[in-house]
Amino acid sequence: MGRYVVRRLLQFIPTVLGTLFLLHYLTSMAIQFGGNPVRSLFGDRTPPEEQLRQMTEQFGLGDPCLQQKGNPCFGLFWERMQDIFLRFDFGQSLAPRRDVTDVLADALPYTIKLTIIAFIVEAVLGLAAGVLAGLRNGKFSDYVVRIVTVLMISVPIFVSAVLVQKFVGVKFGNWLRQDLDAPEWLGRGLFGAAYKAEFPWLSLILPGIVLGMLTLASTARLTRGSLLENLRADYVRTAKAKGLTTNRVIGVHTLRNSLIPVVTTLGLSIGGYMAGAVVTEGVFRVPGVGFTILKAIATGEPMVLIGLTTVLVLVYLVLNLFVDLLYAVLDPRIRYE
Amino acid sequence: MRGKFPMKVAVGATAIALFAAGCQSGSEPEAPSDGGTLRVFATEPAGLMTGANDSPSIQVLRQLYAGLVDFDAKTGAVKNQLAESIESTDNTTWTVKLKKGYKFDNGEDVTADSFIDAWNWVAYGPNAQPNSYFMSHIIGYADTQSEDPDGDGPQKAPEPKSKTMSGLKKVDESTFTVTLDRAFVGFPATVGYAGFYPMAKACLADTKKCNETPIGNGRYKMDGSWKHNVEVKVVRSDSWKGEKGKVGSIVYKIYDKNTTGYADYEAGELDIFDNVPPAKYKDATSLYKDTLFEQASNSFTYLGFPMYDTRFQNVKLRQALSLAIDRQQIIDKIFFGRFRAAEGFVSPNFQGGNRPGNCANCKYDPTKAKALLAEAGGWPGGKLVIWANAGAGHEEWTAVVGDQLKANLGIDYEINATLQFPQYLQTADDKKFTGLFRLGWNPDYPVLETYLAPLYGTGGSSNNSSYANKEFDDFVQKGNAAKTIDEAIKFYQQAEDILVRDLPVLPMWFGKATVLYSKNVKGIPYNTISGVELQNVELNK
Repeated sequence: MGRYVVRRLLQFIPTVLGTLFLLHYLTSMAIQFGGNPVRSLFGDRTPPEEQLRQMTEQFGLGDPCLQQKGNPCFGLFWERMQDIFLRFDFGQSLAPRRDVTDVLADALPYTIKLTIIAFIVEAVLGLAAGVLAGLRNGKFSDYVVRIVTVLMISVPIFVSAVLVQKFVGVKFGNWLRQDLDAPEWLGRGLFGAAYKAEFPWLSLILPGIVLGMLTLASTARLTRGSLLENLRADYVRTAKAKGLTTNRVIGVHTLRNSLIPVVTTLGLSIGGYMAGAVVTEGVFRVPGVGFTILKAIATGEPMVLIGLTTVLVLVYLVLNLFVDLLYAVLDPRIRYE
Repeated sequence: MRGKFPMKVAVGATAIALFAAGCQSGSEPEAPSDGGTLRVFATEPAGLMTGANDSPSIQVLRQLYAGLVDFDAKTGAVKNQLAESIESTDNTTWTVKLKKGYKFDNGEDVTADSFIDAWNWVAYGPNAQPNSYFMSHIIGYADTQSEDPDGDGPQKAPEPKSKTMSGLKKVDESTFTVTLDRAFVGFPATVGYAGFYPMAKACLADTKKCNETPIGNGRYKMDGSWKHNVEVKVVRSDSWKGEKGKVGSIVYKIYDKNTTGYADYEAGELDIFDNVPPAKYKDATSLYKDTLFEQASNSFTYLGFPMYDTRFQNVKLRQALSLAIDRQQIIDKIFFGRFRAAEGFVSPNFQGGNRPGNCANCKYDPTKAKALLAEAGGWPGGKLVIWANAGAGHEEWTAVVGDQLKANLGIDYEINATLQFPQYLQTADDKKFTGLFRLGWNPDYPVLETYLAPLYGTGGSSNNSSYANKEFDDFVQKGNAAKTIDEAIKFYQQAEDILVRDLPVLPMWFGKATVLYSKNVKGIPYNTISGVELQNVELNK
C-alpha cells in the first residue's frame, strides 16, 4: 500500500509538468498571435513605449520569445516552474494587480463550497434515484428516473444555468419576493439570481444544484445499472435463500458491491465540477476558481491561468488517487502492493 | 373535503396578511434617516490607488477621494473643490492654493505634500500605474521613467534617475506650484481627474494595503476592505467637511458579466445598473421604460483613415466616403438607437462642444459623395478593407458601412475583424492598417483639447491616422496659450473646423449612457463629465 502510494505520487510529477507545459505553450501562443495583454489595459490610448515596456516586464511577459510566433519558450517555462515550485511565486495578475496566490486564496473557498453542495446533491439524489429505479425496475418510478436523467444529460450546463437563472432566480424569485413577500432568506437567498455575500451558503444552493445536475444523472443511471446486475448475481440469491432479511440483502450485500463503479464517477465528478464551475460560476457570479479562470482567459493573463490550473490539476490527481484507494476498502478482493 | 379545509384557512390567512401588507405599503414610505444603502452594478476595479485609469476603479475612487476641482453637473464647468485657487500668469507655471481643514480618513491633514507625493508616486515608472502618462506634461516626468538599457530585451531596466518630478514644488503647507512643459489653459480642468487625487502618507507607506483598504479624503470612506470579485462598500465619512452625500452608503456589487448583472437587476438586487447588454437593450428599454435614464455620454467612436497609405491622402476621397455613410440608419437599425450620430469631433456635452450641424461632411448626402469621388478621380481600385477588433460585436455594423459605400459609391469592401484587441491596438501603434479602422476615444479631462491634440496633433500620442497639419496644431496651441478658457474654446473650435474639412477620421457616433434604476430610486442625478453622481441619488426607503 505504502509503496503503491509513493509510486502514484511520483507519477504526479510528469503529469503536472506535462499539463503545465501545455498550458504554458498555449498561453504563450495566445500572446504571440494575439498580442501583448498589457497593451489592452490602455485601450484606445497609445501608452508611451517606455511605460508599456516597463509594465510588460513587471508582469513577467517581457521575454522576447513571446514575440516569436510558435516559439515554445522553454527558457520562460523553466523560469516559471522554478518560480512556482521552488519559490512558491505564482506571479501577478494584471487587473487588479495582485499576487496570484492571493487571487487563488480568495477564490478557492467559494469553489469548495459550491463543490460540496454539488457533491451532496449528486450523491444523495443520484444514489437515491438510482436505487429507487433499480429496485422498481420496469415500474413507473423507474421510467420517471430514466426519462428525467436523459433530459438532464442532454441539456448542456451553459443552457441549464441560464434557464435556471432566468426562470427560477428571476421569474419565480420575483413572484416569491413581490407577490408573496417571502422572507429574505427564501426570496433573496435561496431563490436569488446570483450569489450574494449576505447568504454565503444559501445563495450557492441553486448554482450548486445546476452544477450537480449533470453528474447526478449519470450517477443515478450507473447506480441503477450496477444494482440490477448485482441483484441477479449468485451471491444475492444465496443470501436470500439463507433467509436473510431483504434490508440486509440489499443494504449490505448488494449495495456495497454495486457502489464500486459509482464511487469512481463520484470521485471523478469532483474534477468535473471544476470544469463545470467555469460556466456555473460565471453565470451566477460566484467569485470562485472557475469565475477567475474565465476572467483570466478573457483578459489573457497567463500567470493566473497557470497558477490556478496547477492547483486544479493537483486536486484532480489527489482525488483520483483517493478513489483508487477507496476501491480496496469497498472490495476486499482488491489489494495494492 | 375535510382534507382541503386547512388549505382554505391558509389561503384566507395569506389574503389577510397580503391585505394588511398592502395597507402598510399604501402609506407614503419614509425616506431612510441615514440615507439608505445604494446598490450599484460594478465590475472588478483594476486598483483602488489613484493610478488606476479604468472606469470601474474611477467610479469608486470618485466617492472615496476629493480632488482639487470638480465639475458642474449641467455645464461641465470647473468648480474648485479642495483648491482655494489655481492660477497662472503664463499658463505654464500654476500656483495651487488649498483650502484648509480637509482631512484624510485616518486623521492626516490634506496638505500640499499629499498632492505632490501622490502625483510623484503615480508618475514613477516602476510603480507601473496606468495613469502615469497623465503626469507627462509636468517638468521632470522623463526622469521618473527608466530607460531600456539595450533597446529591447529581458535585461532588468535600471532605476529611473529620480523619484520625483522637478516641476512640482512645495511653497508652504497649503501651497504648491506645478510647472508644465507647455502652456495649457486647461490645466485646472485636468486636475479634477482621479489620477490627480491626493494620497495620505500612511497610504504611500504601504501601498499594497492601501490598495485593498484605501485611505480617502472624500465624501465616503471604506467600510471594511475590498472584497475581490464580490463588492466594495463605502459609507459616509465624518471627516468630510464639504457637502454630504445623500445616500448613507454605497455598495458596488461586482459582476463579471453584464448578463448576470441584468438578471440581478431584474431580480431587484440592484438600484443602479448602467451596463445593459447590447442584446438586451431593446428589451430593457421597453420593459423598464419608467425606470430608464438615458443621456449622451462622451465616448466617441470613429473610423480612422490610415493616412500613411497614399490612397487615403486625397481629401475629396475622404469627404466622399464620409458623405456616403448614413450614420443614423446604422444606429437605428443595428443598435436600436443606442448611440447619437456624431455632429463633430468633440463631445457635445463639453463647453464649446455643442455645435449642431457644424460638421457638413458628417451628413448623409450620396449625390454629393458621388460627385466628390468623381472629382477625386475615383476609387484607386482594389477592395476597401474595413478593420475592427475581433469578438467585440463590430462585424455587423462595419459590414453595413461597407454596404453603404458599395451602394452609394460602388466601392467593393472587405471586413477584417480577425485580430484580438491587444494585437489590433499593436497594429494601430505600428501604423499597419490597410484601410478604414475602428477605434474609439474617451476624454481625459473636460477641455476640448482632449479630443484634439492626442488624436490629430502632429505626433500626438494616439494619432493613429498619422494626420499632420500645421494650421491645426497652431490653433490648438493658441487655444492652450489663451488667457481664459472661453477664449481658448474659440481657437479649439477653429481647430475642429479644420478637422471637419480634412477628415483625418470619419466621426461615427457618441455613446449614450443607459442607466436602469430600481423603483426605490427617485431619479438619476447625472453629471455630463463624470456620469451618474451616485452620492446625490435619493432613495425612497
